[in-house]
Amino acid sequence: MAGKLNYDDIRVGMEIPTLVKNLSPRQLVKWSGATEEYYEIHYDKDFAISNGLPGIVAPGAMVWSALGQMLTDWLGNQGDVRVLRGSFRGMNLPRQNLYCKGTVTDKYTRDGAQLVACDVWVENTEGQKTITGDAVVSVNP
Amino acid sequence: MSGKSLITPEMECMVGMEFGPDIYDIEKGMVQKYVAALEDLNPRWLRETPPTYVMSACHLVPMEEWLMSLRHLPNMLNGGMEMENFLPVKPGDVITVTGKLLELVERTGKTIERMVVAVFENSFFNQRGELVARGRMTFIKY
Repeated sequence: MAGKLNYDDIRVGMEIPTLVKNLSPRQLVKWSGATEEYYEIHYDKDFAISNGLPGIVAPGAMVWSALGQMLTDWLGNQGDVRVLRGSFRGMNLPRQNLYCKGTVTDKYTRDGAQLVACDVWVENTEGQKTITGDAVVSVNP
Repeated sequence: MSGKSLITPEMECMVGMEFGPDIYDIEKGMVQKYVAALEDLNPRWLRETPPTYVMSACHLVPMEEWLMSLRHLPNMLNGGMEMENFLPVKPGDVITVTGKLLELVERTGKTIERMVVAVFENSFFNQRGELVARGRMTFIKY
């Protein structure tokens, strides 16, 4: 997790520290239990393959949430994630590194809040972007 | 696109319909299970929920049941999620979720030849009736 984030130090074009996730099948099962979302493609290999998938796949919501974690790790206790949008463009497989990344695209104030807009995405080990999107965070004074 | 539409008249009638409500008690233990699954050890989540929690954990069950009832489209993938947070959510809060089917569109693709894309907009309210978050979910049925 990052130290204290200072709004004045944020620059358009700067990179958000990359968060690397390598999701184990056990984590996928834990996610199913925690969210009570039990779609079998996330833990039943035979079912996933019968659905035309290469094997079990990580829930899109889980990897999208990892983008949220990337942002809150960057923010520390210095702000909040206001908006997070993601289009799911490819499968996220367990036991592979997934790289959660972002860059700052804008800084502005609105209704007294210090806001930062970012492009965010997830890349797999082959460099394919499996999730693309954007986010807006607020940074405390 | 050749052949009969994958969107039946019965499905078309559901556009604009409201689903829910479903009600969730935000429990500290469940939030801890969520962050343990994600391996997000930020101590902040002992006091409040991560920004993606309500979208991920507070399901609109009637919406999911309707999607799974489409027998001619037995498979489903998540096509995307969008969320805007307005207020923090904390353990002890009671969250009411409602949703609306915004659109149904038939599409063709490279790996999935024909599919139906369904977009829902869900709203999350706390026990004081305050809107804490709103989000959109895109489902691909094929």
